[in-house]
Amino acid sequence: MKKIYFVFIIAMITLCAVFAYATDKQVSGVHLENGIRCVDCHETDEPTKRANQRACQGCHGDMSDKTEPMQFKDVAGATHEIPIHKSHAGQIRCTLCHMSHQPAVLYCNEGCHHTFEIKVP
Amino acid sequence: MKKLVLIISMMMCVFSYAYAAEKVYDTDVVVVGAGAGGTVAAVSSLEAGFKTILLEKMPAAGGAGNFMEGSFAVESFMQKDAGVKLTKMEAFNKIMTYHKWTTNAALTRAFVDESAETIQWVWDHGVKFKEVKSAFKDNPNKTWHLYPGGGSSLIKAMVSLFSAKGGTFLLETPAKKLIFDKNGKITGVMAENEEGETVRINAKYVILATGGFANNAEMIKKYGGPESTPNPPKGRDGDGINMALSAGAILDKNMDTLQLNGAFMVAPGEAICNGPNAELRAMFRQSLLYVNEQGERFFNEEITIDWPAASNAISRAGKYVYVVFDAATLKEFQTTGYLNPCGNWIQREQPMKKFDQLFPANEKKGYAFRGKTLDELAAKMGVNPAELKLTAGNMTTYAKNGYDDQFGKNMRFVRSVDQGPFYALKGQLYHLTTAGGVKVNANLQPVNEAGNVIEKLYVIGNDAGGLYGDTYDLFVAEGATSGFAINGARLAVKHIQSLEKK
Repeated sequence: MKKIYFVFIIAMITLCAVFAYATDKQVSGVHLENGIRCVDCHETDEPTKRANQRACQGCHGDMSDKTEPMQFKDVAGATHEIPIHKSHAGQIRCTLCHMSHQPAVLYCNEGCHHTFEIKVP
Repeated sequence: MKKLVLIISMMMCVFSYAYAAEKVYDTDVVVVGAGAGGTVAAVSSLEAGFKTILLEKMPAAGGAGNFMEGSFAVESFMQKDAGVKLTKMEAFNKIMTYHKWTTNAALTRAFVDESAETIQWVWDHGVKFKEVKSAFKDNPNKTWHLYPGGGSSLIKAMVSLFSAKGGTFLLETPAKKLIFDKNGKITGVMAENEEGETVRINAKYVILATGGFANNAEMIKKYGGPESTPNPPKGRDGDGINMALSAGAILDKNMDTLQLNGAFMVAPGEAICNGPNAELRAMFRQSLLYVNEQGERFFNEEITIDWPAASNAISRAGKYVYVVFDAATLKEFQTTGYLNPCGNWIQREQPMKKFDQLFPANEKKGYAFRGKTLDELAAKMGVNPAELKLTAGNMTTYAKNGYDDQFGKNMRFVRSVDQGPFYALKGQLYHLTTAGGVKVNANLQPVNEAGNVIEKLYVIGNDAGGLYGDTYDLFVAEGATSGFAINGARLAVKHIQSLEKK
């Protein structure tokens, strides 16, 4: 009988782990103001997986169409002029930079060796 | 009761995993890894008329391909225009001699032979090489074809062509394992996509191009490699090699060889001399005095420009090495500039401008040291003061006598170390990539223990071995690593084409 409770506890932990992802995160900022709910990005009321690219594009459109160059500097002071949403990295996931549940970052700097001075919204 | 608990438990587990919905793709060719080799293989495969899927584990394309500067080739149209006389046969023999024939002659020959056509192929796909050159002064055998604006220009061109021509490119979708039919024949790969779903890709051919195992310290240790820090990017964890091994492939010799890149000052996230600390890091390429943790000089620093060879000496010296110079040398660098370039970022004769800003910041981090006297400097560095003073005194004598009595360094690089304050920068060994990998034939097909080809599978770029002995061959084949990646890619696809025609 003891064994069976052990199995039960393991199963409980597994189930909880799946939903733990959902419970510690809130909709905030501009998304909250616009009445966005978990389901709008995560496809279920109780999120079980990462928001899909399509969810972002549903409201914000396909940013890779915006090819006008953006001007910015790097730490060394050099000026760059590139369309930031059409980089050599290919069409990367929106939430790689524009994170909803934590401060936004610039993946160019995080994942690579760039030192671009861009404030990511 | 017992039964009920068990049933509830089982249901909960099933429910938990029900979200892992499986996605299935059917294709002719799946390429694993979207670096230089992978993207070129993917575009070549698509152009050969094969339905192609390209997988990339990381969130962005390119891998180490984004860090290439130039690719090796012989007898290219650019070399002909530049008057380079080196022939394919000469280059092949130079490379084999450099590696003492410990490497795969058939593979090397195939790579060298294909290289000129590959330069043309890349050019015709919109990537116009800037120039063909050599990093070594007065070397007539220029083999290094420089990409316009770095390797990312090739990646960008390949990724956009691939998508435009109808290829399926899946980012953040690492291949996890090869799949086999009941006869043991490879039938595709299992992967996991960005949403955590398992993805099954049924494919006639699999090309592994995951970039070696530069970021997998455990694997490097396992195969006897030196202690070294990887340059960016992340993600080169040996996935391709391990998948090939799962299919019965064997490893080639020299698994412990890394493409060592010399010592640089510790600066997390910075590659070579491309970053905020470039001016200080470039001091490790200036052929100035190096000392080990005992304060002893240990090699002819003239060779720091041939960084694979210099790395071997540095690797022997210990975990940390120091570049030591005095106030007079600092002033020289601030006025007449650097003695050697560092990549394409720091040029010869470019004056150092940011020392006063960079040095104190690194002193705080414990990577830079200064002392009014050599005793004070030695104490801060934690090296034996008597030994450091002896070494510095010797260098000053060599500079005054016009002869390096210890290692015979070119006098262009010999400087006195006698005017305080004295400076030291702490460096550690870095590597660009691993050099060993899966044993393949000249068609980039892996072989098993019995020497038989493992069908349906190709292993290219840094996942493949057999190209290097104990040292990367910069000295005779500048641009070889990226060159091998893109040439292997084209050779593999050509071989698939030949099989499909039958």
